[in-house]
Amino acid sequence: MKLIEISLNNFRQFYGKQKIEFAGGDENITIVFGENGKGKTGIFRALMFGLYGSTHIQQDNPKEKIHLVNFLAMDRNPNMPIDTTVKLVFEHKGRKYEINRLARGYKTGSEITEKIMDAELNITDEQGNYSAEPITDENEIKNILNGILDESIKDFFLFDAEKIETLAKTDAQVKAEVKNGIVKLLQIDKLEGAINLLKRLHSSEKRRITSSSHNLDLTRKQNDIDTLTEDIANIQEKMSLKEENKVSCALEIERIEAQLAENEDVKRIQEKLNAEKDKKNLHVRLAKDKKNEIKGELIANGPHLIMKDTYYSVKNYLDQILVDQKDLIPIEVIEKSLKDLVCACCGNDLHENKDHLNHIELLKNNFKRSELTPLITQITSSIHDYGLEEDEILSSIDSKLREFREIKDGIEEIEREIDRYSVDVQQKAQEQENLKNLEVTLNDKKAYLRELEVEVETLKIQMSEKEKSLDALEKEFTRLLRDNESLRIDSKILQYIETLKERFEAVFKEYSDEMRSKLTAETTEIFKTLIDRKDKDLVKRIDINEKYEIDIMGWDNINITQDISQGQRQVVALSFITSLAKVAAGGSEDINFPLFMDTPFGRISGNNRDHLIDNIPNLTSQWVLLLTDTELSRTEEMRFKSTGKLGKWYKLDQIEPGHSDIVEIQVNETMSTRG
Amino acid sequence: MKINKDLDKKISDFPGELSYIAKLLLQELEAGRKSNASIEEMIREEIRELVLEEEGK
Repeated sequence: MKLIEISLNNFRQFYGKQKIEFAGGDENITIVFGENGKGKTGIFRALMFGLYGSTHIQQDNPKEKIHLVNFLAMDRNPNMPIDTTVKLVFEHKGRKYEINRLARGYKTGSEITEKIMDAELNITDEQGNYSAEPITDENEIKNILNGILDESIKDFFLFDAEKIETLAKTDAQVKAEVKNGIVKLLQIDKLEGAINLLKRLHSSEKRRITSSSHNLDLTRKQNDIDTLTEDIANIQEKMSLKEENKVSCALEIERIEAQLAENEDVKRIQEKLNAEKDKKNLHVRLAKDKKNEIKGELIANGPHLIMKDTYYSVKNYLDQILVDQKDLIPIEVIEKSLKDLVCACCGNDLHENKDHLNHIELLKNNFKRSELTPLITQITSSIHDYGLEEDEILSSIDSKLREFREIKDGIEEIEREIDRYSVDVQQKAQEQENLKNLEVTLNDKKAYLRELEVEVETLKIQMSEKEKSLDALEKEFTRLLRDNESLRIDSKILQYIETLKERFEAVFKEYSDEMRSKLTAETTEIFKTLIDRKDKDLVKRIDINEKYEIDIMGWDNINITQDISQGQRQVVALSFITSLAKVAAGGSEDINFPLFMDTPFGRISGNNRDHLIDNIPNLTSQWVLLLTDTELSRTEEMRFKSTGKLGKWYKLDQIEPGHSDIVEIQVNETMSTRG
Repeated sequence: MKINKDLDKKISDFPGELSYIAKLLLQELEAGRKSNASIEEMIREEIRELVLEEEGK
């Protein structure tokens, strides 16, 4: 399938007539660039409407009405019918298809009424012969288009960002989608259908032969077979019910465990809260100790600090008194000088300096001891000592005050944490009250699940025994049939149906396994091509397991599906989609369908984008991208241009609200608006 | 929609006429135009013809 062009008239934001021609061949990339709200998804909607007549796409709420007719056209023509048309032209296997779809809208006051009108399909065959009459029957159009690209699997080729987001998740809905995509695209569901049809045919044919044979033995055997078959069906029904109960019970257990895990969060928060409270108590004790240290220091040295200025003025005053006093030179010094005949103050020899000797003797004669001198000396000496320690005391008090401040700041920080945890705990306190009830329920559910498992096993044993009996009866029936010459042809018909069914069953198993291993190999290979080099070693392979779920295996064969980033998961989703398309196309090098992607680069990192841009054009015959400004910076633009694959380049310009134009840009021009 | 190439190859390995009947069955299921009952009837007739042909030899 190759898209040729899409033409719109008054469709959604696109007022009047607008057209996009899609690139193909060697230059197979078409980019439609538009900032959010300019109508990119409108293009995607037009494609879905053109192909399938769909008014809704995957991201829409199916209950909400989606308008297709341009509002501006209706505003300018109130109470007049406004037609919106989408014409899609594409090729498939040498034939050219042109589909025209029409919707009509009216606006009366603020009320909008819309109706999907006619569809028309024209086909030009391989020789260029145009179909004489267009096909207008909706069912016939649907059958033809579903024959080209089945609507149920279209999302694997034509998808919006939502699809990648969804596939990149790992929940049950996604697993179901992946399985559905695989079994439909690879026609595994048709094999299953064939097996079931042949089973029904075999049993109805047997009944027909029995009733027309009027053979009592055969009739008896058939009745026994019917009874046993009914028994087996009943057991199967019981088993299905039990299995369903098992699934819902397991889901319930999962839900309760998740709730309990949340309560575990409460426990953890409570533990953190308690730890913070302990921390606060410790800090309060530390602060108290520090306060006492400072108090002791202040009691010891505080008065000195307060009196510091007074001390120094007292010292100066006392020093002056000592200078003014006669006993400036102590009597001991005078006596020692006279005894040694050497001045104890200046070291002069008193033998040679008679004047000095006389002066010292005069000092001795005039000496009068002052009672205050020792006291003054002691006071000035103490003040002097204090002067030496002053810096040390101040620095010690300063550092203790700093430490105290730090402890206080710490306490404030802890109190903020305590407040935060307290709010958290209060919010979840109600849940905590339910904790015990939940644990009781969980144990009950687990016991019930074990009970169900035992019951299912018992039913399996019963079924196995019944199946053995049925098998023996069937063989007996076949022998009776074969021995009856008049039923030889019927017997052979039955044998052929049985053989065909067995062949299909063998192919079903073999083919499913082969397809899964092909998908595993292709997805892994494409992932290695698309992922950034530094992440390449993260993943050993991407398995499609027996339940058709995607398992991402690390190098040590550990399942890392839940551990990789959302961006990496999106590359896995893209790899899976691309490989599924490739395997479904019969493994040919090119995917035979266009890959049409609406804003696919959302969470994908720059390096991974580069790899996608470099490699997807080589995997698919056509790549149509609807990109927003955050996805097409100058870096991506240069990358696209460097591939040499860029064929068509459009920009969505918003002229006014409700009116966007599709403008073709030359591929050598600059498009991006961001660096 | 055609039968997948890999699947087609496996069906081609069915013995004799069974391969043709198996492909016919898959194609009808794929086309989705006929009811299951009429496909069953068609397959029964195809097998019956095959048996009668063998018997006639």
